[in-house]
Amino acid sequence: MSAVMVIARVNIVRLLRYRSGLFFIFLLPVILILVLGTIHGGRVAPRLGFVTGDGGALTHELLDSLRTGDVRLETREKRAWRWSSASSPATPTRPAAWVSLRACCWAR
Amino acid sequence: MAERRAGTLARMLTAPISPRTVLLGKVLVSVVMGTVSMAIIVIVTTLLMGARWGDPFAVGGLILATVLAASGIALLAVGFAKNEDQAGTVTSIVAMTLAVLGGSFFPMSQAPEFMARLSLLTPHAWFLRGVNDLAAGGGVAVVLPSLAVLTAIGLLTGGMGLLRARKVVLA
Repeated sequence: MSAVMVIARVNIVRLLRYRSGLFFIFLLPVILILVLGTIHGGRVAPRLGFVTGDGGALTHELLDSLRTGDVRLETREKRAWRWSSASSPATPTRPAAWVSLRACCWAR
Repeated sequence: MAERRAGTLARMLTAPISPRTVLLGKVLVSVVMGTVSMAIIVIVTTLLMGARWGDPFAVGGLILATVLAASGIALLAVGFAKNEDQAGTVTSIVAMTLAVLGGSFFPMSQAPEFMARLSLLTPHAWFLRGVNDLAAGGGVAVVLPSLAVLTAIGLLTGGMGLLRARKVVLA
């Protein structure tokens, strides 16, 4: 066993014998997470705006699905491309620095 | 510093081992303890709270890289302290500052753009980014940038900390 491992093992054994230290290293973080998680967990409800537009039949169907919760939400990452004015539109030059996120809803 | 106060550091340095070996042994302890502590948190939150952390291999890698970064920063911070009290104070200040900047207390998505960019200097932001990516269903490939940055932070600060701490050990 190398000297590094021997020193590490001795220090770990010494730490394991120090019970108040063990509490702060292992137990306290778990207790904090359990308490805070119980208080705040599952209460995040983001608000999502919905523009109905012409208010057609499909819109009402989608709205009903949203109200009843019968929807599936997917997010897709869409990389934006910047086109060079000199080159052909069919040959993208390089991706723009920003990435847009589009959220799409599908009624099941 | 506690070893020096107790007189055990002087005894260790009389043995045919280098100060670097002593320091590496100490760093290894903090890495092992940090990893075990994080693993306990993952296991307990999964079993008791139904948390979904994502790909276990990616989570393991992320935890290891994060603990490496935290150990490196702690080693560097402690290297500038003159006694145990100072070491405790310095590490607390550094930990709290990085936690606030890194988005541990409030989501960076609500912070100004400047703060969001500044947070990328902290390991907390990269860890949270990796955890979010994994929870969204990504695999190891998704967290590679976070793993790379966290490992780089750990190696850089750990290397600097070892150089600094070596002087403290030999002082």
